[in-house]
Amino acid sequence: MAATALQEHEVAHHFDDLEQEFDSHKLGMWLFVASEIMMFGALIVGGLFLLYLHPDAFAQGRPRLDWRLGALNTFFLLTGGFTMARAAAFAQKSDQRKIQQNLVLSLLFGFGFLVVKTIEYKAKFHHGLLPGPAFHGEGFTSLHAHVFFGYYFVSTGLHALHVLIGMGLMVWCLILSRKVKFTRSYYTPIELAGIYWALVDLVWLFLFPLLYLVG
Amino acid sequence: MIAHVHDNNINYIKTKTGLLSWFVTKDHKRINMMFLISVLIFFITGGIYALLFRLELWTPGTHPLITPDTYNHYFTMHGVIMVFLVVVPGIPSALGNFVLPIQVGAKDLALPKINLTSLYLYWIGGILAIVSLIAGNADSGWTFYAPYSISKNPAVLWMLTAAFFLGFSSILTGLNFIVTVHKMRAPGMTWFRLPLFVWALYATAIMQIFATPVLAITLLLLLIENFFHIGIFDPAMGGDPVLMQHFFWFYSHPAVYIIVVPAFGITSEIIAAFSKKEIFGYKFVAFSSIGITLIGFLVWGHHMFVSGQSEVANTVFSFLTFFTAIPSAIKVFNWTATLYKGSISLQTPMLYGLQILFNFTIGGLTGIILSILSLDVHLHDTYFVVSHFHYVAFGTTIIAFIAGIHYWWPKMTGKMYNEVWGRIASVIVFFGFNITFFPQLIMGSQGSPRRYYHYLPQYQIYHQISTVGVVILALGLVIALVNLLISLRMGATAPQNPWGAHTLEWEAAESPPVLFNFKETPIVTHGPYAFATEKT
Amino acid sequence: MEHSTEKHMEDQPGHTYDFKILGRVYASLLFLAALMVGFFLLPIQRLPIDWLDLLLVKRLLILGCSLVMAAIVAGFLMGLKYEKSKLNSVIFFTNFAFLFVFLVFTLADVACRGIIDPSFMQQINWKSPVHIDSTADSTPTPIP
Repeated sequence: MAATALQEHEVAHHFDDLEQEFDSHKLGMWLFVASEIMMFGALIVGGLFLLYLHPDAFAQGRPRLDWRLGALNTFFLLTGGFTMARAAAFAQKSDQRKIQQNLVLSLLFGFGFLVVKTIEYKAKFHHGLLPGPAFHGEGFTSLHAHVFFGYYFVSTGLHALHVLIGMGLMVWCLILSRKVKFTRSYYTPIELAGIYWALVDLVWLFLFPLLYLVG
Repeated sequence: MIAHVHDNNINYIKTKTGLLSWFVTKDHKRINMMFLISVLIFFITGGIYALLFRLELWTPGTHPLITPDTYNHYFTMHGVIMVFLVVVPGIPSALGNFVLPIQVGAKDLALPKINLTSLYLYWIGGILAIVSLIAGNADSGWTFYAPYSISKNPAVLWMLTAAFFLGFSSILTGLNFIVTVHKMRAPGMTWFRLPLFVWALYATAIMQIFATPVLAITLLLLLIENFFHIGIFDPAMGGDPVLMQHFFWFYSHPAVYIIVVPAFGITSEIIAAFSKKEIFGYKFVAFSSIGITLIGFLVWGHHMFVSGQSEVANTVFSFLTFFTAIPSAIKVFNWTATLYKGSISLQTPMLYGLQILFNFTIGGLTGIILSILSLDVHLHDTYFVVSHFHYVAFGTTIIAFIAGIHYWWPKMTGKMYNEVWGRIASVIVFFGFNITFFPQLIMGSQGSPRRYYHYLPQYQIYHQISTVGVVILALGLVIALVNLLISLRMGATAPQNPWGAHTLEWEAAESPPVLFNFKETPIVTHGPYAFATEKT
Repeated sequence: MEHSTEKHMEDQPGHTYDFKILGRVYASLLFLAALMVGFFLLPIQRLPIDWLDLLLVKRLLILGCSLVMAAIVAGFLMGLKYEKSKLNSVIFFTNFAFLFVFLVFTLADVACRGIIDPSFMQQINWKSPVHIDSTADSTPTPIP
């Protein structure tokens, strides 16, 4: 990729300098991440409340989730986070090719996560482990098993949506990497996308034990 | 390293012409004006709903034109529109957007595209609220309690979705304000030289960011519960409707502080400017906004005293709520102390500012009455509560909003409104407001429940006084609005600093400001209320 | 405004990534994840300890792993450890402070229902006004 094809980044007119722009954008992303943590955190509080109300539902529902698939998904997300950080590191070195390689890797691992999720969901549908009145799973003595699976679908579904959004950000970074020159001074989009992906990881690190390992 | 040339010599209204240039602008001043117009339209709409159901309440019995279902629909629409489309976004998005960047000495907010996104989300939320009107009768009350709100009323579903978008609009505004205050202050603008309006908006922004997402998940879960009946809030499926209230009020209590804290900021600005005096105890007032924010996250259960919440939780929440009085009282005392020996001029913004002191004292004290657990058992869901929150949401916030519009009108539009009509309107508004809501305090303490279509005949006199008050109030508001609109065509040209205030928007920016707010970056050398003190 | 392309490292925005540290961070995260699953798989019912609630201990250990992993992700992958200003760290911890408040008060509510007045927990036979077109029961929820 010829260096002349890549644009130099220009600081927006309302900022005094590059550092102010970077700090502002990073703080903005952190505040957005804070709002996402509150949203998922509240959902997890709801889950803990349900765990308290219906421990039997969780105790009987949890064995129906495959912890190995959950662990595999954890591996996918953590590796994706690692490759995103490497992408940012290579952005600082202006190595456009390595940036793109790592972004693609992150996308692949994200995609892997979604594939595993689909497999899990299909298995649930097959066994009738559905939310609410549609629940017709077998072998449960708990009256509220549907609550566990309802909560499972809502929490993992919302999380999977955010995985998709994170992947969208990675695609955006890929597109940018073909147009804009990244340097030690300017690597903001990849840094911010990395922070978002780390958020997706963070949420999973609490959701995975709550659904798959506790109960 | 300017990307492309802008003309920084003409004011922001004339910079680029054409409606489209407004719809895709990144200029915080233009975004503010679009928010202002939208908020005022929704305020009028929500007000009309109130007028309609107050007419129904003239007599205790059935009304020929307004059925009970319609009545429920009207108070729901009034509540949802006023809370989510007017008072929550109002001061931050329709005044703060304009004023905050200039008061800190910046060329714009830190994230202009995020600001525009916030506006678009607001419009989407507003449109969805209108769709809800067409879809049917949303009649759950603005509080959307389960299980009634999960009975798949399509109008309620659209309202839940509308509120979801409006929540994100609020989050993005708060996010932008915090980044701007941290990163974009002009040279010499230290934290303790910031105007108190900025402190108030900063505290509000903290709540917008940390509380609103919980509303988002609540609305999402309500929508999911409507369609899938998972059993989180639906008691028939094993859920807990009180959990829904925990989720809802964890946001909605900080929300009432999002509603009122910016109003406190405006009050500080106006009291200082029109007493020509430094705010008494500046640091205390600044920190009290942060204090209210933090305490406000700990007290949501006081809305749930009779919901089935445990007695232990009730006691804890009641006790913690008492502490909210402290920062609020600090403000009222400090404003009063500012007035003392000040050089007071009773211009229109100040007349509204003084009303706020009166109204908020009643609003705050009635809040403390409600926080007492044993009293709340009797007062919950009565007109006492309705009156309390109108004293704060209207008597404090809306009055402050109107005060702020008048105060910054010369800066935003470059025109002066007619002062005589401004004062007349404010006096009518004061009396109209108090005639409307004071009888409701009495009625509520005597046991009259809220949201009732039929009421006992003994309360009729209070309802009638209240309805008369609403008409007077509406008259005052119309006069105020017409006065402002006329000034756009016929008002005198505004000077740069008509009030003689010392915050940056008056000292360093023109009326109206140029595109990038300042011709050159201001250097701040004094505090925001550096009025020359007279030695007595 | 011209920018010199040869800025000193300290003047650059953010911090310079170190590949070695990233590698070690990744390895520790994988280790902690494996540890978390390991705790889960521990057959606590086979352990001859009855003076300690082993289920609670297991859950706390798993939670501990989550928290440590969260700290590592926030510190190294989101950059909190390297920031000059503590603002982003304050934001991150404030999140958990507010969530903690939410959790504690809500759980305290449901755990303490009926403590003072046991008639609070009397079952009420009622039919939900919500109409669900399914075969699910509308019987009252058994109170824990």
